[in-house]
Amino acid sequence: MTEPPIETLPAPAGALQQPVDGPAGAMAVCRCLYDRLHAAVRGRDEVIELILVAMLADGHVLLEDYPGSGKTTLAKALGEAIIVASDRSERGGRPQAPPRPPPERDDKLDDEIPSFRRIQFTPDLLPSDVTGVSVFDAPSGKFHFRRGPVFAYVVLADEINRTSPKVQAALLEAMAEKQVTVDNVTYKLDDLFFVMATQNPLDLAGTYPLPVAQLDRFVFKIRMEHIARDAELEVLATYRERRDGLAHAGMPRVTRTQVVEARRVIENACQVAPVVRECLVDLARTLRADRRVLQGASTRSLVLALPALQARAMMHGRDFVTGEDVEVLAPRIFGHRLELAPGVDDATTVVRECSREPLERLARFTMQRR
Amino acid sequence: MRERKAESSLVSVLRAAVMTVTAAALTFDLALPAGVVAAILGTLVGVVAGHLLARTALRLAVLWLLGIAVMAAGLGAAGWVTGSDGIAASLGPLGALALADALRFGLLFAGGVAAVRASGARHQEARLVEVAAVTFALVRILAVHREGAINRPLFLADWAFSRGIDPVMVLLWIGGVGALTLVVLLLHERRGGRVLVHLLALGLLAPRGLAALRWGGPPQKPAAADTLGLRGKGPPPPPSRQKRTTGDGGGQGQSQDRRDAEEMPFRDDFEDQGKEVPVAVVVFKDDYSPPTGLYYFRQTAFSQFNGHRLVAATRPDADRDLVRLFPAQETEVAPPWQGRERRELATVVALMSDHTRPFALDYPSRLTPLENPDPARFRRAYEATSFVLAEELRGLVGRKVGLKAWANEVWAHYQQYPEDSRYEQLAGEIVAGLPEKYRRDPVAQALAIKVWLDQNGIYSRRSQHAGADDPTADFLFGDKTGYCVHFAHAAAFLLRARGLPARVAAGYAATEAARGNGSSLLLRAGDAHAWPELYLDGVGWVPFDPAPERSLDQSNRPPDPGLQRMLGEMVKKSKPTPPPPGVPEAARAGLRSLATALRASLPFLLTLLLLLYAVKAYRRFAPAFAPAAALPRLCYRAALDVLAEAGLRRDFGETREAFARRAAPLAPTLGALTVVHSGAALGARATPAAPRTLALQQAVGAEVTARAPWWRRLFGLLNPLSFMGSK
Repeated sequence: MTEPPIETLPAPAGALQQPVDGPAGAMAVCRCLYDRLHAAVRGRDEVIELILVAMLADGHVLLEDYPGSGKTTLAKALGEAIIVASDRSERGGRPQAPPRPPPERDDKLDDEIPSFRRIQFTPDLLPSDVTGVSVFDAPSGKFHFRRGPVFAYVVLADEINRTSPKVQAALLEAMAEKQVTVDNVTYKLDDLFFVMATQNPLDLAGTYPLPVAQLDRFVFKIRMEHIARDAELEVLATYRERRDGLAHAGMPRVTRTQVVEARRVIENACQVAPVVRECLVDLARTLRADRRVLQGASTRSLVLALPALQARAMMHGRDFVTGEDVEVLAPRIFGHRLELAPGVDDATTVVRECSREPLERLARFTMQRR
Repeated sequence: MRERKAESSLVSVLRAAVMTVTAAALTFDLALPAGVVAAILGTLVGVVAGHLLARTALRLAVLWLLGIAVMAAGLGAAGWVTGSDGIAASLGPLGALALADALRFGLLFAGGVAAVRASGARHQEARLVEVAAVTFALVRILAVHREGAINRPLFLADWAFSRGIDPVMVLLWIGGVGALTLVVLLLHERRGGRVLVHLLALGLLAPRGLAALRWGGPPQKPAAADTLGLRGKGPPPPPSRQKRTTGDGGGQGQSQDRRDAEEMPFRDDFEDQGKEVPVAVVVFKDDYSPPTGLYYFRQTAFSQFNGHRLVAATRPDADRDLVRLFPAQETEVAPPWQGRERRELATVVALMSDHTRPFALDYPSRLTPLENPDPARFRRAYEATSFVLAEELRGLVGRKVGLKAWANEVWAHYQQYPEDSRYEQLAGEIVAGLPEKYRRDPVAQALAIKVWLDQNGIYSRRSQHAGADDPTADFLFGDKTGYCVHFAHAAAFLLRARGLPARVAAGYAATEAARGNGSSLLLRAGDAHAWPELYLDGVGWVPFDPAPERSLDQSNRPPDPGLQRMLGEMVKKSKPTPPPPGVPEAARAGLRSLATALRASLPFLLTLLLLLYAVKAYRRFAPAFAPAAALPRLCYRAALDVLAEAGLRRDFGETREAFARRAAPLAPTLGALTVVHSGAALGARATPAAPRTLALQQAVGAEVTARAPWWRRLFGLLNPLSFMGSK
């Protein structure tokens, strides 16, 4: 059995001091996370924003990129930005501790959930390598569950298309249900469970490509382009300080609870006007009617889209969703969910063109007298 | 920044091709070949330039001004080239004209097409203008068919006629295919709303084409009077026709050359080509057998001796029976004949080639112009009422010659002949052969001379007398070989030597046999003839035409009876010409009504303009007294109006935030105002206080004022429709 590479981070101190009980607090959480990631990774502002939107929308992302494009750095920086629940600072600052699993089933050694873990998917990986395994404890004569790498806040699932569909399904169940089932016992994952899966778009030999139904579980599929020249130069210039963590040394971090509360605030406080929902539905219907699309966007994708739109609005300091949120996120949300007709390969263009009319209607609506 | 749906290159190429063909069609009958080529090149340049200009940031109004400037430059340059002496001197007048045409049409089309194309590339609706231009060109070509003029356009009608197809069928096919194409295009359109728009556009286009024809006018049918040589303005006839003119009897004039009508040349050799070419059709309204066996259609006559031969009379009191002009209306050219010797006969003459004068049988008394039965075949038609000779020549024996009313000078005019004693001597010899009692009788003497020439003369079109000082004497006292001009002169001089008033008439002569049993007679170039005439008291001019018994040439073949009958049938349908419409009067009336319409609509237009300005002002100042709830929207709208005046408008499908980013170089504050506006509309919890919203709007206004060029703002301020685009 291959032990997946697991990186555990030390618990740092210094969290965001602002209470997260309203839009302002949620915006502060967004700002804080964004600043730390921006300091750690250069030239990826758009990707950072999308990843944060996905995390705050309680979704997961699929990154399609080339090796060495900074995804591990990004995921690690995100994990580092979140203070682990069992940190003393967290416990002291917050009265409610995260719900802990029942002690008789828990692994005493793994009491604390790490903020970041990385799973390198290989063809010989087994589902238990992802979810965890029950081991027999001779002294007590009981089985103890040893948590797998999915028990973390931020999980980087590297090259997810390299492993067998069985393992993929295990991870995808964990993503969808926020729980894993081993030996008929269900273990809940943490509320802040965020998966960043990656796949290489070119090196496809011996891979198990994710079917569209599985892709549906990711809020976004993000295709990472090579970064701009200036950004690349900056990467080289600031490499050392970022490696040593100096770039974001003084910046505050957020606790797990703050993130979870920010999610709740966003869901409740960020307005989605009826006309925006109309725009979203019209866009989905236009996509389904389009000749270039064989299978259009599902209703579930629309449901998933709402928190993403809200999160993006909040990230931009608004407590309402506008057409721009739809315009920016629609290609990311719907792009990988469409089955395109033969000969059509650019889903982004299709979505852009189909969104023009619903967006125009939305824009016109704002000028109507009420 | 702005995404535009790329057009397939096939569509672009097709459009360029259609526009090129349109340019060629529009200029084809207006310009020299150089002008047509320049128009085609200009159109191509215009299409490309229009495409490129549409992508620039220049406003459409500026593009149109540029296009108009190029067009004006073309017209100006053409005027300068034609007016400049230096260019005409260096290139020659024709070269200068070609250069002017090339400049005029090349730049006209380059500028116009560029402006139209740029509009079309910017706005889909503006493509209607292109469609309208193409439609106008086609309609203009084909519309001449109205009122049954099936011979236009000539290239189509000639093509069809030459293949035995009725051109009407060709036109119906063109129309049918056009309609079918439109129907297919409409069916292909998937959106019902657009079909309606297209139908509406079609409905607008059709009257537009008609209106264009009404004002621009179809190419006028060539007025026959203009092609007459009598005015001396007509273009020189093609060479082939000129050769024909020099034919037998010359001077009956298909030529424009006035000289040919004045005198009759003696020629040494002839071209035999073109003898069969039809020149006219005569339809007899009544049966008539001429006593002489030939129909003589006199066009002109030569009675004045100029020392060498007979030429057209310069005396006003001689040859007054000749008709010198084509009738413009029913004209009595001579009083009706009263005696028994002549009877009335109506004929219809349809000319198939240009003639300097009308011709008619014998003694024409009344000419009536007729409508051209088929302008493709006939030049003009007229009805001639003649009083034709009803009596045998023999029955005229005993008549006196001349008219008592003739002055002595007129008598002398008709009796002059060369001072050569041989004429008198020969005439005496011929007359001496007559029985005693007839020797003093004019008709008997004339017949004797005719018979003598019949027996002694030899007909040949290849005689050699033209070089002689007196060609008639050279013929008569030489080999006696010649053609009708020689015989006619010889007979006239011999008659004059006997003291009889004689002249040479010219025109067409055809045998009664050529008419066959039908009512129509086809005259061909080879039927041109000259013959001697004698004036008999109470009868008028009577031909005594020598018919040589010996001939070196082949005689003319009779005309094709089928062709003769067919053309005759066509001529029979011709009707009297309607009174000419006062075309300039109609045009003036149209202009007057247009001016009236403009004057009448001026108040309406002014009201509309004021209303638009009022709306504009209201939108600008509405925020000042708006309720708080509507303030963000009204402020934002006012800011949008300001930006629209500066030429910045939101595109279709562009989100307000994206537009704000696009407008940021001009108005950075628009982003903040957009957030306020969108938030108010989409459910933000808190809206900023009214003063802040107003301040944001005013900041946008100030930024635009500071950053946009003044002329652009002025243009936007004056434009009453500027707010239409801000949305």
